[in-house]
Amino acid sequence: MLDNLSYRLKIPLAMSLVIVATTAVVAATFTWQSYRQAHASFLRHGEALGKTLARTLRPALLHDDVWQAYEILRTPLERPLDEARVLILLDARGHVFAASDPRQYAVLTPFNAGVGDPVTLANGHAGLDSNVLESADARWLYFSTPILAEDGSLLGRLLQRYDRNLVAPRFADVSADALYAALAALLLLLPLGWLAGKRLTDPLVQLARCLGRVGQEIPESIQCDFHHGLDEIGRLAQSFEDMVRQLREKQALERHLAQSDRLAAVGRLSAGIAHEINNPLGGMLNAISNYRRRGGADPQAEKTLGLIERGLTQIRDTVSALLVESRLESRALTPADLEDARTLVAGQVQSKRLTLHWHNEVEEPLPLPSAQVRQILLNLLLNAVQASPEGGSVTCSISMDDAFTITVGNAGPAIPERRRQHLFEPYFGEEGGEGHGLGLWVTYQLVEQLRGSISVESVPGHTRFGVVLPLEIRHEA
Amino acid sequence: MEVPLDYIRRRLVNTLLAGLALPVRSAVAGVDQPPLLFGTTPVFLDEQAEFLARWRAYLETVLRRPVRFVQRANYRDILNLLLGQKLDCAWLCGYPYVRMKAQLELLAVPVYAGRPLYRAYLIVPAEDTATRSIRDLRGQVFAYADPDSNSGWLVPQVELKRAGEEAGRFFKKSFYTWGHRKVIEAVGSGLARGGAVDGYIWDSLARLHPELTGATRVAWRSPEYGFPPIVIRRGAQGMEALRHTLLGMAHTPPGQALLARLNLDAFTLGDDGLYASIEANWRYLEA
Repeated sequence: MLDNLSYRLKIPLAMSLVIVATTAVVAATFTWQSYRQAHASFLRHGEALGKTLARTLRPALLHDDVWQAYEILRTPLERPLDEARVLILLDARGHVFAASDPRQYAVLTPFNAGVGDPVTLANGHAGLDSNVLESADARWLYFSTPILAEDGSLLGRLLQRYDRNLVAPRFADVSADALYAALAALLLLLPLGWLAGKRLTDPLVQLARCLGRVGQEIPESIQCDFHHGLDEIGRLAQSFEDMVRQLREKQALERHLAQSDRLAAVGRLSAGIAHEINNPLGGMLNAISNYRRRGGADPQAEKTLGLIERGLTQIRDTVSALLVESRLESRALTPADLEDARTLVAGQVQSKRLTLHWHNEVEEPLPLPSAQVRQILLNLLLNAVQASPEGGSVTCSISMDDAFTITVGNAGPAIPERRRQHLFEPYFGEEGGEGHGLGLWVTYQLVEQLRGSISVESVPGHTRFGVVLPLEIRHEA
Repeated sequence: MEVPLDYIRRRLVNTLLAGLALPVRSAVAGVDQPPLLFGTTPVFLDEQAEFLARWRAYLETVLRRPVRFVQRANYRDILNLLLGQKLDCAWLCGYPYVRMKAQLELLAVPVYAGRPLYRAYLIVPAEDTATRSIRDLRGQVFAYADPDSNSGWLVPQVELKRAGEEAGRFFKKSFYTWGHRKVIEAVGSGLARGGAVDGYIWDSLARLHPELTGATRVAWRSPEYGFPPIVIRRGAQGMEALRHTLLGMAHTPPGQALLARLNLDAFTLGDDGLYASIEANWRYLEA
């Protein structure tokens, strides 16, 4: 049950519990301490009062002055008659000499008789010491103070009778005070404790939530904003982020490898097929050529032969396009080759009312095969023009640094994710949507042959193809 | 009466327009004269300091000399001070007056309820409804006011003797409270089961502090005796002005107000005959 509770609740709850418990203990201690102090001060006060009164009562006892004794006994009382506090002066025989409540303790009555109190000290033989006694029913507290003559003999005894309830209400007061103080403290501390607990657990909860998403989601889309500290949760978050990054890299690598493998397989397959087709195709074209050279073909046959020859030629062109061979040792790339590509797409740009932003940094010949680079650039430009919406813009940037870089962008819609995964495969058709032909396949093959790399980024309104070709290829080849 | 009442009235009207609000130490003429020392005893409510201050201001204004009230713990001290010439006059009880008549002289006698007479009361706690006379209090605790008081001591002593009792053994215990008001308190609280008290004091307190007298019941009223007088040493000189002032109080509004506070009508000259019954009691007890 408790194990299933979120730390988001568990820690603030635990904090609150600790606060409540601490406050309760402090309040209880305070109450008990205060009660003890009040009780002790009560006893001290009673004893001190007894001693003071005993001194002043001595002459009254000596001179047998009942009235003086009575006036002295009444002095410390707030009210003339106080049921809770009664002062009684006993003579040496234990008879009442005077009392602050004469109706209850009449003059000259034996203290024990009539009162029914079992306190035996009233006999007057209870020694010469002050002491505190409790009545049998625990209702009264008696402070007994002897009154001594100068020679130390017992003249009488002062009894202070207090209602125990005199102490009890103070306990209640003290308890109430402590309770209010505790409540105030709780009111202040509980929200603080809860907040502190929440602050502590928030990173943990966030981490747990992020961890929970791994496996369900592609790690790329996991975006967690962790606090970066050196505490345990901070280190855990750091490890988690490292793990996610590695997962992400691994996934990208795997995807890249899978794509390359697939494209390589497609390349081998298409090359094989092209060779298999090209051999009989060459024979067939040669046969038609020989037949014509010998002549004698009637017009009907000549028409048929022409038809066959054109078909075969188309097959050969298609196959050779599929094969993408670096057949020719072409000349070096010049700036004019690049400008040619611009000229070639100019017509289509105009017909779609596009704007072409052209940026070419190449000003001198480069050690790259001109035919292949021309085709790559042209393919990319034509694709961009095709993908661009009417009246949009196409950018082309060609730069020379350590490597030769072509970047072509357009403002068309984003390439769907599924299509992107098969972007460089020939004739990839999508159900219900338009596919693509050989253009990017050829481009990819050319880039691969030149040991370059091609990249795509595509978001709505912006699609950009980048091609990077190393210049050292010539020397390595 | 040859009291120069007009003179007094004129002086008062001229100087006491502020009514009772007299300054305690006003710019009294003749302040350099020796003060008049006036001893008081609890035959009246002499613990009301504010009243005494007003009375003193009144007397100083009229007498044109400083006045000081002197209080002591009991009648005897005041009597001794007066006889020892430490006081000029004293408000005493009729009992010490008759005993010391050879050395004392009446200055003025208060008029209470129209006559210079008062009674002694025997009081018991209010819950005691049975007691009718002091003889019913045998074996009880009894409170006397002062051994030099007529109402607070002499009267009950005489009553007991007339009943054939020996006062010293009649009560289980007796004590002095050194004041009539305290006798009322002692009886009201139950400390004493009976007490002897000045009837004038009891009646005055019944008006001022009914909660005090309410706890007691007057069980017996004595015959009338001469009211406690203001006395001087026999043959003392220069006391006429004070006598005139006291007798004139009833004729000026401020004096009347002071008398009202005392629950008295006036001061009068009085004569020895007023105290004959007290003297007779004393003789009876001494015999």
